[in-house]
Amino acid sequence: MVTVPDIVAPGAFSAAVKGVDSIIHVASPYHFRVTDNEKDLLIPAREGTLNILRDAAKEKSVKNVIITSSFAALNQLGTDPYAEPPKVYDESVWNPVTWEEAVKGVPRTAYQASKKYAELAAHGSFTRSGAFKLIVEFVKKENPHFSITTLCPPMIYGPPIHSPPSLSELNESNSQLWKIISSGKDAQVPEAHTPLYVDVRDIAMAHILAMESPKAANQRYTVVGAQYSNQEVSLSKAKLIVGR
Amino acid sequence: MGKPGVYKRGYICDSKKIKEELGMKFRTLKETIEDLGQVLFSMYDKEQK
Repeated sequence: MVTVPDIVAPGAFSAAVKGVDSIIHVASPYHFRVTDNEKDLLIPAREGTLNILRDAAKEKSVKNVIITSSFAALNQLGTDPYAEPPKVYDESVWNPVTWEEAVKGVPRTAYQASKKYAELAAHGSFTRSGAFKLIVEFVKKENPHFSITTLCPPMIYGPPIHSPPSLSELNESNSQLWKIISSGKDAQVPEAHTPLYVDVRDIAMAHILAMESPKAANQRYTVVGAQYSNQEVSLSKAKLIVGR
Repeated sequence: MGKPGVYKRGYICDSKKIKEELGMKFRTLKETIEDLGQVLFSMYDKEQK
């Protein structure tokens, strides 16, 4: 695991990629405490992705790059997640948010666009049949010697591998869940704005499978464990508290 | 607990592609919440002391 000081800085990953076979790029801003959507979310997501690809392109040992994208690169903010009939998502879907809308929009819109543009920076679109087309500028220009795979998880929940300093400093996803788990027994349960999730340990495994399988080369995958509702979380909470 | 009407399903995405192509398997929501809950309640208990 390598952490670099600034993913936007040119050559940020040049030392980190020396001699490596596979790269898993997980870094991208995900929080809504922003003052400038473009500076705080959009540019770091897109440039961070491009920078790691550019640095990987200079390192002949690299065979594949796995990029953590997001379900946010697929779904459209403002649509009712509970509309009937339910919207069906697969790897052919992209959210329609434009860069300009994201700059002026609320942080959640900016986050969605940041993941879309970061992923588009890595590779292009898919046909309806799922056949993959590399059409991005990076690929056209650099013709990389490695394959690229993107993974699109929705809400990621589960036990952190590290010890968060405090409950007030949990990551954005677990923080949302903790609000429900720690609320009083008569508290109102809000609807989940993205009623899909994946366990953090499962999305970690998805990266490893993508890294190890030749089938994953130049593919995009949604990585969704299941649908869920906050009501289900709340009911699990009751069992947790009783079991303590 | 909770308000009526929120126990309903939303988007559909079965991640069939990664299951079929890479043999991906997933944990249940129960496993995720229970394991996360253990960690968070343990932190909560420490912070209350």
